[in-house]
Amino acid sequence: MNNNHASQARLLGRLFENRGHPRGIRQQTMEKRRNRLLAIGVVITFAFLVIAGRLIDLTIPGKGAEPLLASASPLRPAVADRVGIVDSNGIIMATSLPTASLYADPVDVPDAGEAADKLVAVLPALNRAEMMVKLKSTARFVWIRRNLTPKQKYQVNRLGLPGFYFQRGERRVYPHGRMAAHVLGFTDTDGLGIAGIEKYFDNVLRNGKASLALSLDLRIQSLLHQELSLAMTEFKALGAAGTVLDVQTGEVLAMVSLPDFDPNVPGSGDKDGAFNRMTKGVYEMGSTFKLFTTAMALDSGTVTLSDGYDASKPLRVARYTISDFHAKNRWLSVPEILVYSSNIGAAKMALDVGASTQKRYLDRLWLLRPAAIELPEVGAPLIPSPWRQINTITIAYGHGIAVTPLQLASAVAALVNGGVYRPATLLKQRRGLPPEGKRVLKAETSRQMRELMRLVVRSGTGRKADAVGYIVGGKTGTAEKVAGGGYRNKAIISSFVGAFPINAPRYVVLALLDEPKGNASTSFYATGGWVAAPVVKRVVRRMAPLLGLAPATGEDAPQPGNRRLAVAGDGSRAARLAAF
Amino acid sequence: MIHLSTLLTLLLAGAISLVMFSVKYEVQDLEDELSRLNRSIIAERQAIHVLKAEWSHLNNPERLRSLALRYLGLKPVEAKQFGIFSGLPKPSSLPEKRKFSSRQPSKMDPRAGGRRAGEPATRAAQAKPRNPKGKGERRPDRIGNSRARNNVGRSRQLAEGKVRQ
Repeated sequence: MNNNHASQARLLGRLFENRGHPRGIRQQTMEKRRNRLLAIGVVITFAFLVIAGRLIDLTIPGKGAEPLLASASPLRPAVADRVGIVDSNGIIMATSLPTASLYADPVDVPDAGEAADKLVAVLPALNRAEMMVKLKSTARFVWIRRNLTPKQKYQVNRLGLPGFYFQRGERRVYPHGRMAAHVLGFTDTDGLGIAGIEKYFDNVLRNGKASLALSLDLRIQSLLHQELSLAMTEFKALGAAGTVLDVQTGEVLAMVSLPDFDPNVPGSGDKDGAFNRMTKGVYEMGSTFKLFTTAMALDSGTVTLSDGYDASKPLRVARYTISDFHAKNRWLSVPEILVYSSNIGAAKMALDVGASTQKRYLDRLWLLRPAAIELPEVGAPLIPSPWRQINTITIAYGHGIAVTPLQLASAVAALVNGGVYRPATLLKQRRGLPPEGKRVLKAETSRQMRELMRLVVRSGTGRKADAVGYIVGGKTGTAEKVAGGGYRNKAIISSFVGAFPINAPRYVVLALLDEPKGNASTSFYATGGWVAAPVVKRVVRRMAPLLGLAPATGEDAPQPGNRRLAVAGDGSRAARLAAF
Repeated sequence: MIHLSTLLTLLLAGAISLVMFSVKYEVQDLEDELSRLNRSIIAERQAIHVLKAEWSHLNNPERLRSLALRYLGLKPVEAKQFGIFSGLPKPSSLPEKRKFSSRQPSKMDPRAGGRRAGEPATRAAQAKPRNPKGKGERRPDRIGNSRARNNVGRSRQLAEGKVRQ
């Protein structure tokens, strides 16, 4: 550039110089022209050089030029518009499959009658009369049938009808049908989440890149579903619910509510089917609440394991009489109150604890607030207001307060895991560090509660939950259902909530049956200990090997001559025996 | 001189245009192939997606359970079926001649659940005539049933104490 300017300047200089010299006009003119030509030539040469440089720059491979290796044009990253849902082991629980939907442009259909005849022959589900109405309309777009199978699409294509077209669409498919229906929920025909996870994570599922991983374990879900279905049939119950929680992370490994529905065909089946008893249904839980009463009494220092209460005669408060179902009519120690599920003892213990402390502990255990679970169907607990003395008494044994089964399971998990509350979650958590929790009980109280829960299963009302080899601890619950302002004696909610292995709990298992009827095999009892505890036992026995839990050795090992310990009248002795 | 250079330039231009022509068509063919491959990749992905859903459906635990019940006769694992290494008898406590030996791998300790060599083979030889029509006639859809029959036969043997567990 500079060189060029310099040469131009020199050139001009020479032109001016030449003007003064006495030469021939012709010669001068010739020189002038030659110089002009030279200047133009230089400029043109420069321009060509620039072009050549640019050409070299573009054709020599490198930065800004064609890449040496051609790369494939970017593919659509996702096969489906809505990502799938998988369980914790990556098994597909919901996915979107491409389908073809048939539509017609009636103006382009030359012979509506012939077309309708042919289509009805291929797609028997179509109604010929309706088809005629559609095909004779003046609209330019009518749906004929959505979501054809590949075979149907082929058959329709083979008819070669003019005026009929396919629209590529998607259909939500749940390969495991009704197994986790209430957790997954379902979508409408346009792929919009309507219930369950599909609704709660609708945005994530529509805009996500990878499948949504749930905490559910399909194997556990399946066996819980099976065991609850069997129990529901056996005891002619209206419904059943159950869950398996990881006590350290709050992950829900399984959640079943019966009756259920097939999310592949939502709206079919039982009209009660869409109701999620685990998270939406609130129930008075009955005796399982004695666990919380005992825990708060021990934690606040109101009682120790060697204390006890007189349960020899029914407790009369205002116009209510509180009596025991498994009445012992004597003084009962704190462990015995739990083991024999004494209402009187629990009520007296709650009175000693006091209403405000009771309320505080229940609130910490998240029993007074709606559960924080990733589902839209969450029921708010029913809490007495105002909280009178009689409420303190009845809540001690689980009446007068209605919570969802999931809240109960989460609270029991906090009771046994060392006293840290973690809300239940349906999303797979990262391995390793347990999620941040909130301490609600002293670790020592949690240890005592584990001993007591073991005692209930070993010697108390929960004996039928004792899965040999997997040390189960838990509590039975039997509550009468509220109807028309009073309690119905024959309509009960029977439940069992257990944790195992109770010396170092990993999982909480809850089973609940709605209005079970006793039969000959249960001596016509339908209480939690008779109908729900065996479900938990079978679930524990089947799920433990799947989760890699080896059976316990030592005192509780599956060997003949395993001692059954009786609970003596002396509370401290009972507590000592419970220690393992 | 001028004629020669013009000729050379023309020749060069002709050659270059020929090369250009062939390269252009080569590139066009390659691009066609690329888009064909891309289409088939998308189709394969689509197929994999559908197959994954089908695989999940076929692995439905309830379906597997009913199949296992029909054809395998397997049951859920019981707690008593678990063992741990520390629960095994120490080699020193075993009688001398029954110790494991690399030379005689056949002499396994029957208490540990092993069988003596030879036994399974003879039993297999005995078992064959029990199922004479099995070989040639067996239709593929009957495989499961015949397996189930074998299981029945085996459990009968078990009941009669013929088979050492």
